[in-house]
Amino acid sequence: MTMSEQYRRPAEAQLPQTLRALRQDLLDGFESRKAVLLWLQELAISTLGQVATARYADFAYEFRPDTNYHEGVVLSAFLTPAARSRNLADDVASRARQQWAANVIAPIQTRTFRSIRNQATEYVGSDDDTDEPGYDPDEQTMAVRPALEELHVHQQETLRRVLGTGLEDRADILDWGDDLMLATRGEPVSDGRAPGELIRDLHNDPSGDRIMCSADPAWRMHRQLWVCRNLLPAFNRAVQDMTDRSIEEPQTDTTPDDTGGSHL
Amino acid sequence: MSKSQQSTDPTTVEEFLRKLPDADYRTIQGGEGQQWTDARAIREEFGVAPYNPEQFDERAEGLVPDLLTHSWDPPSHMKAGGTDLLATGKPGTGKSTLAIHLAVRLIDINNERLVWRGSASRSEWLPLAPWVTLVLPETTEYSARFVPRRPTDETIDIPKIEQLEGRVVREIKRYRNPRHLNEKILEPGQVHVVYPDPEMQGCQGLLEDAAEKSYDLPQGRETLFHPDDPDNHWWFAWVLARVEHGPHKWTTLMLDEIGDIAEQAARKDSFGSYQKVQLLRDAWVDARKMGLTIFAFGHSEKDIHSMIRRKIRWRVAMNGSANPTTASDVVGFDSVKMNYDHTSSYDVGEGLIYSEQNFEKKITWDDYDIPVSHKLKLETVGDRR
Repeated sequence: MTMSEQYRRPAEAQLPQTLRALRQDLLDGFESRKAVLLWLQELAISTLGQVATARYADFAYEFRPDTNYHEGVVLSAFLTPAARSRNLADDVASRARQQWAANVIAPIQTRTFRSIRNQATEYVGSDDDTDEPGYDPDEQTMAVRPALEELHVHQQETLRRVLGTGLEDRADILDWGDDLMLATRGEPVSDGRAPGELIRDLHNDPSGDRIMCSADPAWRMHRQLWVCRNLLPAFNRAVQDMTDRSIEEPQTDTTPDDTGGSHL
Repeated sequence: MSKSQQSTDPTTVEEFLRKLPDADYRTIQGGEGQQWTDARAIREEFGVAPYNPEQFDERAEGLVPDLLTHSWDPPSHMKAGGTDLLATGKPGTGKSTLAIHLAVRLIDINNERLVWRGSASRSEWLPLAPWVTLVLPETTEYSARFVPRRPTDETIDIPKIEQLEGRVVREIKRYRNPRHLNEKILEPGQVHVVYPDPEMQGCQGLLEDAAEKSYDLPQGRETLFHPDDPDNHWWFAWVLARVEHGPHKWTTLMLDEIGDIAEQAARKDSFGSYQKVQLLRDAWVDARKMGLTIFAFGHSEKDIHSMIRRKIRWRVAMNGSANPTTASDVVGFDSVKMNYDHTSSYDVGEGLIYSEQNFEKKITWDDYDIPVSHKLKLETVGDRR
């Protein structure tokens, strides 16, 4: 390893690389709707929860089919030509993706960096025998926080289990609930229900098994919408919860969504 | 050695003054019951929307309206009497603009008598100058000078302070002592920039009148207030005068850079700095009951004496550094409701307001731009007697 690949503040050094890779994935387009959802989850983790939580819930409407197409225009643009149902010129789609990257990712880059800067640890080589100054960002976990990497794995696993062909049966909903708890860190889903209550309601809902378990294409699509509206916002809050320093009183300040503001 | 340019040439001075808006006399008769008030004129000049108490976050349970709307007989969930606020943030985060905006709100909402602490080197109130009454001690003569922010620009010297009247500020008035100022000079619904009296006239007498107030005297001195004291110490006496003698009409003191007055480092020195901070602390609690509101602004909590901080119920964390997330970060608070750092990522002109019970995440305020970037400095040039 050369000196230039090593950094005293690895978390700060790694962040631009992570965001660049994330943006490139978007610019390339996605081969499936599922890939979009997994990417959105990665967006939450990589930006340390700095994207407004409401944006995930709003994106859910893109997953809603209308009479002619399977998805909204933005989602269409996110997808590769083979995966989209709309007739969208490729250069238009590509420009739309680029626009989204500019509008959503670019503005929060600074905030993400600043939130990491406040907490990043400076490493001063512990091994006296070498004069290597620090750590190679490529070898580090997410933002050099092992706990965040762990959360990322839990969230991906929770999504993968439920997307695609869905869960096995109602009993599997209860089992999946354990994963959900880890993935959300107990943060409420979009309608304010705690994950545990959500699992109870899904389990008891007469059509709960269809929503969560049916392999039928229509239900799969519905499930994608449901995931985007309910789970991704909770995942984003979980990331915020983990990256923020203090969690003494979670009953009051659970949504650090600072968009808007009140004029004095 | 080269010195920055300086001009007392009448033409240059005139040209400079012409850049500033003239004093506004249309609303001088404003006040309670008047439709056309200073606050309204200021709002129109700077394009500030009328105050809307409805737009704040419901979850904050009236945190901001409770701070700004003063009442002797408020609804049960709101506090009676005056309020207090400490806003802290690094230079350049918009504290002074916030102070101006709050001043405008207070004269608008409560028809408040607004007192802005004037100091020799600061003039953040300049955007409000056309509506300002400059209030100076009776016995001291001042000259004024507009100092540019860029040292290479020209300094404009105004040899006689009276030249500012009508051209920069609306009126210049003189007070004899703190009581005279409160009883005869301050007008409801108006902004007064008050400069402290270096002679400390009437200050020691106030203390002697206040029978239950007793403080150690500095070594070798027979009085707590003395003309040798730093000018700033006059403010302790003014607060005492307002609390003890009224008039008990809504009055607000805006203390830009409170660290200059009640600094954490105040000691029992030869000026009795520590004793005066004690005096301010004692007066602070009574201030609310007497309808005196004190809004203070400073760089960091630690610059302000903890005796004072302990008494302040509302705080604003400015943008650019982290808001507190635990009660141990805020002297006088048993709890802090924020769990996250919000303010680090805020932009200039944004802040978070909080009390022990609630917080309102992002507050914003208006800009008050004026065509010149000079500071107005007042210098004492002698005795008027």
